[in-house]
Amino acid sequence: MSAGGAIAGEARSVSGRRLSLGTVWQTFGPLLSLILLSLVLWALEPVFMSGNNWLNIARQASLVAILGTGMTFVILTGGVDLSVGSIVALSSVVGGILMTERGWSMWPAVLVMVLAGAACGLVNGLIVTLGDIPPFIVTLGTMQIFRGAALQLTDGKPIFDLTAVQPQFDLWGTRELFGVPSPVIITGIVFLVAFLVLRYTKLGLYTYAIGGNEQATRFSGVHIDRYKLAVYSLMGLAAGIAGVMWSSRLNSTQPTVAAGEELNAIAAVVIGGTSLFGGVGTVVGTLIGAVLMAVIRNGLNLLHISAFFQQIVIGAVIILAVLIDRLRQRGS
Amino acid sequence: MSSSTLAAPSAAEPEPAATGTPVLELRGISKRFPGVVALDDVGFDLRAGEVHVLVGENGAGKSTLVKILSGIYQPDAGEILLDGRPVVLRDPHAAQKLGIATVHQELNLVPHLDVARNICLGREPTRGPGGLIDWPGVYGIARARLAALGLGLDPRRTVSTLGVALQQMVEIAKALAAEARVLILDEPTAALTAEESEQLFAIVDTLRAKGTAIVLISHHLEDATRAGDRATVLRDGRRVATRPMADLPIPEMIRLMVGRELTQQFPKADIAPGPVAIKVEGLSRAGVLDGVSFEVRRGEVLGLAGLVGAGRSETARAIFGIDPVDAGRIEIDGQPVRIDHPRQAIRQGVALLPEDRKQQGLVLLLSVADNIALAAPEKLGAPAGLVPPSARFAAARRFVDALRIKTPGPRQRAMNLSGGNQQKIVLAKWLLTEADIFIFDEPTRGIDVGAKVEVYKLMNGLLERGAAIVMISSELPEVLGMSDRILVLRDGRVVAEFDRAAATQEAIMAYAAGGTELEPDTEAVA
Repeated sequence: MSAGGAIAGEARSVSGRRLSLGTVWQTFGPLLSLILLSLVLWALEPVFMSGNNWLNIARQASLVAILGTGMTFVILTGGVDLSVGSIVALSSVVGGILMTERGWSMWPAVLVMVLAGAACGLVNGLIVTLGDIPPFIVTLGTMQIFRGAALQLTDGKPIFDLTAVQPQFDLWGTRELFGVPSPVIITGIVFLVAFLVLRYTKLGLYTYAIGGNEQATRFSGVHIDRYKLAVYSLMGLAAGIAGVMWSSRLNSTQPTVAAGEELNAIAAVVIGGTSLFGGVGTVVGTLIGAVLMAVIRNGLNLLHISAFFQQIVIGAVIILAVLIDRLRQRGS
Repeated sequence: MSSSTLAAPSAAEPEPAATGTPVLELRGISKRFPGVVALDDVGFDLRAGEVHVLVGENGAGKSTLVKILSGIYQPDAGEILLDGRPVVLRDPHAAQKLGIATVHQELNLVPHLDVARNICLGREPTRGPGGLIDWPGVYGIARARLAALGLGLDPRRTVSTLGVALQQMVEIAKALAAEARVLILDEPTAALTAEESEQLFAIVDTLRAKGTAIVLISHHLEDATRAGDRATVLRDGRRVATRPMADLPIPEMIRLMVGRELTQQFPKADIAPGPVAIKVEGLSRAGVLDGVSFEVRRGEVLGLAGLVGAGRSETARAIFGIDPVDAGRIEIDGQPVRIDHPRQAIRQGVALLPEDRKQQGLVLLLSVADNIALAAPEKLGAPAGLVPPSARFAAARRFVDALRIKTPGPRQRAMNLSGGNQQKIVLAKWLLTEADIFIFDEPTRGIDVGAKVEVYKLMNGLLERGAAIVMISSELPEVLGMSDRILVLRDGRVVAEFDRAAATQEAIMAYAAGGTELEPDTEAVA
């Protein structure tokens, strides 16, 4: 008994040392960077730490965070979705048309906006699984298709002042609950659901398994295609929700909205430590990644550094995050 | 002569022996990793024109020793002498420059390039001031290298069209730059059939005759006796013995490796066979399977023997619903069943432990617990669709104890476990599905001797509980040692059936090879 215990204890400490360095960085590395950066910005510009500013940051981060949450699932399976920016626009346009031209009331219109996003995701998933085409190619194509559809539906023109026909539509973008902006609350709910799904459900387990080794997962009796369809549909769903939030916030729909946001979402996922090869990563990391990007933008704004330069910094952070991860792996 | 010894009384001067001066010598090599002493004061010497076999269980330190020799790891203590002079092998490139060539277990060829381009990859001869590649030179070098190995292989063949054995030989040709004097072969026969291994050893013999010093690492102890001149046995990072092969019969080798007497290499339990569990009739698939039929009773092991590509794994995949079939019937417990997807096979109580554990059996990035839960999350006892980590860990702990899986905990990633323990995880995954018909495809490939016996005992345990087992193996002693009946497959057909008592290696090989010579050039992976 005691000998067995000693052996087990030893084994645990051995692996504990190897594991701790790796997992600690994976979980807390991005968080640590976020805290350090915040402290530096606080020292340079005290306003940064104010509650109002943090609400600003949260609002700015919410769109990338919600897209990044869905993107985490897709990337965990070893895929990628480049069409999410276009899905946001399509969802937004659909809502705008339904509420202004067709006179739909707010709730059914919002429901259709979200479902339109999910449907776009489903289309991506169907082409990926049935056509057996790499997700990068599929979504490169649908990125154009969905954007084109949004432009076609509106003839390329924005639809302004949605609250004029549906006064309640500001619920999703500009209202507050207990002082917290609604996009932040929505993002929080989406994040929490995603976190629980990844950790507690079959879908979560298989999301990791498919990205880790698709063949072995199939050999274990998993219907890979069904779960991929689910993952791409959820990504679309998240983009549909983002479409609602964005339209509400701008109080308009624009077919050109959210262009390039797919890359910001991927950046948040990568900064958060998720492997682009799939199988490893967390939504917590992605959330931190999204906030980190918002903090950099916000902080540099407060320091009156140009938006152009901000872009340079964000780009450097993406590379740095992956570089640190590489060095860590090489070290162990 | 005596004056020279007086002038240089250094202990580092190796004693000239009749058997030849060591080309390469290791002295007091130690290597530590966090929490593990991988090598502890190990000495090793290698002479020109000898094959020195390194044997030992997984974790004994073979791989670490090889990595030190090929410059991948730096020793913490000790010295490496090349021709009696201390050298530092800073990196693999430095080792190559000093004439130490390594062929690693995993092949490092570019599949879409041809043989010659692979052989010269990164060392292409150039001409002219612009450094243009001298393509005729590339093919000339390749032809010369292949000829030196006695291989009549077309240097323009694309590597991906070659079988594993020929790829292995291309890898050797690539490693053997003109100046290479030491060749390290790490598990070269792991993926080869007996016949292909023999082709490989013919090449090893050729090189030895030319004076190349060869280090051979192998799990197959038969390889050691076939090809080796001397053997060094490692155990727990220490050298236990270095002896001429003649003084080291296999049972003795095993005893030294595991540090105890293995009473039986194949502890087959004798169980009275019960009713037929699975009956396969006329399983066919164009070009792959041609009317494969058999039945397996509960408590029985049916061995499937044959060469690679004979249709053994293909039969397993067809039964398990991975590959489609053109024709064929499967009955389980007397009922006809339809299996188009592994999910359906699992529902019928069928389990497949695939041949390629790392690619097909496990998700290496996932934890032990997640791997075990993968095939039957609904059996974890949680509400439908849910797989709470606590339930996964509980199930994992149950199997870790029952199968004696050596892991620091259920959270450990599968990639960090040894081959034997990985195989146990795959088995645990199928035990959770409550399978009772098991297809073991190469169940002990790449697993230590000691762990092999454990796998066999687990198979016995399954039989005692009324399971039926189909075992595919390229190791004939294993087929003979563990099967009740043996089927021999060739070209997708069952060509012979033996009872355990009547089977011999020679008879099985005769049917498996079908009397037709396997030309290295014609043998290709489909």
